[in-house]
Amino acid sequence: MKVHSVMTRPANRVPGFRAATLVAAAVVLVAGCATAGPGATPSDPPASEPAPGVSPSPAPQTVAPPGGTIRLYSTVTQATVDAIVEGYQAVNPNVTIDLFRAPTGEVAARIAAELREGGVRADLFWLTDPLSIQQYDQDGLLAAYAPPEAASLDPADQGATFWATRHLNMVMVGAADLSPAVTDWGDLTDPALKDAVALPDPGFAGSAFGLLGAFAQDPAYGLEFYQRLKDNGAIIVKSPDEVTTGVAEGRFKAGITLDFSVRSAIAKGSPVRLIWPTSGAVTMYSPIAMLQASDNAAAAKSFIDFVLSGDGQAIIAASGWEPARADVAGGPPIDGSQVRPDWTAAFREQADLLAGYRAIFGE
Amino acid sequence: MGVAGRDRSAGSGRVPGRALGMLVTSAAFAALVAYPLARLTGTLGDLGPEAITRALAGAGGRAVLTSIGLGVVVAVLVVVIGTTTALIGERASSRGRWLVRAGMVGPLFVPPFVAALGWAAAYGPRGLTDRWLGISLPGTYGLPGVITVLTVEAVPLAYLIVAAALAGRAEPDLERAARASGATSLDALRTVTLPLLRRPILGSGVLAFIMTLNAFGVPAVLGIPGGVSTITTRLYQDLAFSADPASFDRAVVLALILVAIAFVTVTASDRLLGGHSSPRTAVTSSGPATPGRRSTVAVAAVMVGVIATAAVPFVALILVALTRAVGLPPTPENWTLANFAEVLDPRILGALARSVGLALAAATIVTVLGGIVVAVGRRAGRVLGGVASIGFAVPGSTLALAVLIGYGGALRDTLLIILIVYLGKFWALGHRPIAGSVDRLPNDLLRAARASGARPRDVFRSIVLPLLRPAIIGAWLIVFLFGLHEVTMSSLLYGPGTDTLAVVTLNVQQLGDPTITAALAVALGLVVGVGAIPVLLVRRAIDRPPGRE
Amino acid sequence: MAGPTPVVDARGLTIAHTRTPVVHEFDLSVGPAETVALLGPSGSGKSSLLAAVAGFVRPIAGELRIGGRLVDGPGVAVPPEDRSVGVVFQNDALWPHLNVLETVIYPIRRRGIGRANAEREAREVLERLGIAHLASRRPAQLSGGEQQRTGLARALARDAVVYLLDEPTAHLDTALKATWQQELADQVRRLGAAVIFATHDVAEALSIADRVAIVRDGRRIQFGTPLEVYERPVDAWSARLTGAASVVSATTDGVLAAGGPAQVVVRPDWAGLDGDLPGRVIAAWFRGSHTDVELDTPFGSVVIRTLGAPTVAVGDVVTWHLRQSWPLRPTPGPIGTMNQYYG
Repeated sequence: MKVHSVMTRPANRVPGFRAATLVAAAVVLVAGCATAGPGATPSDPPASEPAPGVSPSPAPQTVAPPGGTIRLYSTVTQATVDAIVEGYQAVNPNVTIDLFRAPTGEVAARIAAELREGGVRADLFWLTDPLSIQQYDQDGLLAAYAPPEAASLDPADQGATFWATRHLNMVMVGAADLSPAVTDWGDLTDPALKDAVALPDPGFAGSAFGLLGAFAQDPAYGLEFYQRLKDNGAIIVKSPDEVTTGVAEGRFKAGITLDFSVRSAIAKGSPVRLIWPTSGAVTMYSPIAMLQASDNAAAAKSFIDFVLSGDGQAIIAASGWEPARADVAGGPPIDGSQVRPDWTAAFREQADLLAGYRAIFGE
Repeated sequence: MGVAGRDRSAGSGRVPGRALGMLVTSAAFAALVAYPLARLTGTLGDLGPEAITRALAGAGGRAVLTSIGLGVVVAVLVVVIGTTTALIGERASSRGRWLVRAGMVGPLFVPPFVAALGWAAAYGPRGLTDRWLGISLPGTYGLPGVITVLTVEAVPLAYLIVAAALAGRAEPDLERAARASGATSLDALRTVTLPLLRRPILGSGVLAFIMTLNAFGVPAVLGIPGGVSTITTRLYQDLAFSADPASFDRAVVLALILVAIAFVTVTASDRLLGGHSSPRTAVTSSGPATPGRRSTVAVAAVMVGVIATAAVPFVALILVALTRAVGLPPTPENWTLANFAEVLDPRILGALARSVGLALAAATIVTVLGGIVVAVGRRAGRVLGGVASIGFAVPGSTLALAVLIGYGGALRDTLLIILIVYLGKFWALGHRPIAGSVDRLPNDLLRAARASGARPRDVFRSIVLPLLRPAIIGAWLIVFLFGLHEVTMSSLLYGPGTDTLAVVTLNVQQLGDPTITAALAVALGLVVGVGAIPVLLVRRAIDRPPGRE
Repeated sequence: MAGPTPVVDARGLTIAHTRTPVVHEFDLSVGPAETVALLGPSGSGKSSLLAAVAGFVRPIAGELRIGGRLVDGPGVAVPPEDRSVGVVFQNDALWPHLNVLETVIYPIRRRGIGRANAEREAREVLERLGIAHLASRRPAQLSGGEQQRTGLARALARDAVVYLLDEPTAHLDTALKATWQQELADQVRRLGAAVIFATHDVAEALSIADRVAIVRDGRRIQFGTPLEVYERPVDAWSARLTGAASVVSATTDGVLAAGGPAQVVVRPDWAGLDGDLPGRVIAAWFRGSHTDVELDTPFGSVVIRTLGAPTVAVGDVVTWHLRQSWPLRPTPGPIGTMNQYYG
């Protein structure tokens, strides 16, 4: 997860890049597909399309409305990103959004590859865990900004260059007929659950990386907790969703995953149940940031503003996540206490985290 | 008459623009294959020799050993099963032969990683058989599963190669002569049939080894969750999931090791087998053998195998796709079309459109390139054809990384970069059927046209093109199909808005949503299946020998 | 050669197959309305020679004139379509994608004749060859004989000055062969054009051709009328090529002599049973209309043809007589032209 490269010069947008895209589109005869991203589809009518015949009367604004294209790299659930992009474009119809959405590991690999090739091409990062973003900040990739709504956020949920957008709760999932009863993290090392516990991969999923940071920081658990899980035959799968799926399928009896994931599975009818740890769910924030090298800072800022706005937070709540702003209602029920680790402190130790983890579970 | 060199009869020989053709094809090769590979090699040079030792320590070295071991095991299995099936199928009654051929050709059109998903859905833990019979194959996610599905994928090719040789060479009379000389049927098999089939059998083994070495979809779906990494999946994980610069270095080393193994294998086998065996496509009937009850039983056994390895997995996949939620039994009360509705999401339809568009573009350009190679004349065409084959011999993962290094700076995240790697890889697929058809074109047909007063250009238009039409269409369709379900290279090269349906399916699978994955895989399988129908029709047209019947 | 300008005139034609010469300094002249057979075993270069005349292969030396016009020579190489040659291929070489009518129209159209007229002319050719009812069939739907006729029809439709037939009956079965040879002879005669055909079938060559060129190893070793090549073979090899022949010892004057210094050719029909020469029957082959009797004689073994069923048995001591014989040159091998030999 670390970004070793310290290349901080602005991303050069290769001039031929757009042209090449156009050539590609022409050659491939699927013009329009080259600039994908759901919001980019020109056929998507803006929500506030004026009625025919009525001359559009733009709302008076102090600055020119943002336009152009912004490129968003995100690890956030597709449906949530799609809903936010749709909401944003309803008020900013002139901005096209190029979206690359993938798991944390894949986004990190892309960012590293782009740094190697001359610079990150994104304008915005919208990630899952509070650790990776601090690395990008430390590498000087991120731009400082003061979003108007930042004051509404918990001070622990933001830095000078990144801001929380939602909260993720790492909880446990158990088979519907699970016995013995599992109530807290420590129960996962119960010999009765030998070879039947699944964990998400910190190298793949940001939430799992955050969890690793949280456990490592907590003297009650530490990396030894992972060792005990390993000794009890715990199995590493890729994503939290895969943990939930595996428990639903009966491959595993229990595991650690996101409450969002368990709730979705239960809603569909999967035979699983959500176990909120008695010591509290590990709660992390999902940060958004804009890049130094962005050549469309106005639009990037307007996107951040929208995500942090009441409307944006409502969309996040409606899509099933706990909004980052306490003053916005909605979102899933919080079934117990929440543990919020000191992510700044966790970040300082992160170099040793993955190494320690790999020493236990291997690559 | 075959008088070479000064022969002016071949209408293709004087097609205008021969020099232009040479120029275009040479430039295409340089751009599509030579330059990227040079850049890849150059990158290793920059890393220095110690990068190799670093890369091979630990996971990298294990991946290399796993790939080689997998290749050997799969090759042996494929040779045994493919040869046995061919002997059964080609010696059966004509109905039995038709059944076996159809059963063997069908699975060729199932995309490998769809087959892998289906295999897990059918026989894996909590799969179809587990749920209904309480039986699941051990190690579905792991080496046993990877070996089984790779074998299932490669057997049809071995079958086709051996069956073609059986039909063309070891005709029943040779065996009958052995029997008449006092050999038992087993003796005849051992002393006459198998020795005559030595080249195709070894050739199919080499092919299976190379296919396994290059395989990505199957080990990605069944190997990665089981902790098994091959060179290709390690390379994918290093490139796609790791931000560590050391991972990139390792990917470069692994890519070059992969291509080195492939070339050493191909060169060694060429030397061993004495050059390329060019197996004729099977399916000219080899005279009725004398099918007995034993052969009927054998055909039935083969058919059961085909159903178990190809049909059941696909049905299982459909059932998973129809199931409302993970963990519920796939019974009608839990059925829903909601998962298929997800496939109709604009994002996924966009990916489908890109898959189709890329496949269309690759097929069309490759066919034109193949046609140019043919038009420059047989001798030069053969050289250029060999050149075109190099791209096909380079493993997809290697070529994709090479293209990424070569063109990533300017073209990263464009469809064009995916198209470039498709063209380099599939060129040979477009070239071979056309060149093969040209080689089989009797020279006298062209001479007859010249002697009838036709000028070379006229001969090309009125005789050569119409006779090549099935091969041209066939080449186009084959590339189109490969392009439709390609995932090895596109998964390394896609970017924002350039993901294809196969890549989307792989990503959804990696995220761990089996029902949506199944729905996507079924959709992909159906798209490819629909595309395959014309291939089968054209194939029959190609197989029908020209001239007398 | 006296008379009118030859239709085909080849001088010193040398043809190479990937640098190895397969035809050496071949001379051949074919007069108007003359039919010439190239007779030789397979691999003797007949096909290469025809390919050169057709213009498919460019000779590496020599000159070739068709209709008095230089078509191959130093700096000259006229392509096949400009040579006015009609070719019948050994395996017919019918285009699988064209039906019979389209196949025959093909060369007519390329003479610059319009579609309607070309079709009318093609139908006439088909009518002449008795295959008009097959007009819409593709080659795959034709029998071997029908394919043969279609191939010939295409060549005839070319309206050429010379027709080249490459082993026109080689792959036919015996019954079909006889009728097709007859048909071919009729059609060729009706053409009034020059014809060169390559064959290894001596009966075909002798019965159809006006003159026969005997080809061995790419060289012309004899060129004469069918009667000449049959009655006056230049050596034992061509004697056997042109029919059954016994070679027996004789004096230099051609008189049979046991252990004589010279050799003569005796055809089976040149000798008969009963006479002043001694012999013993070592085999008798009944062939229906006649019987070939092989005798062991002091001059060597001799085959004699008698009419009807065998009248002698193996082991019988008989007498025989000689009606005709032909002296052989002492050493068989490459020799000059027939003109020289008779010269």
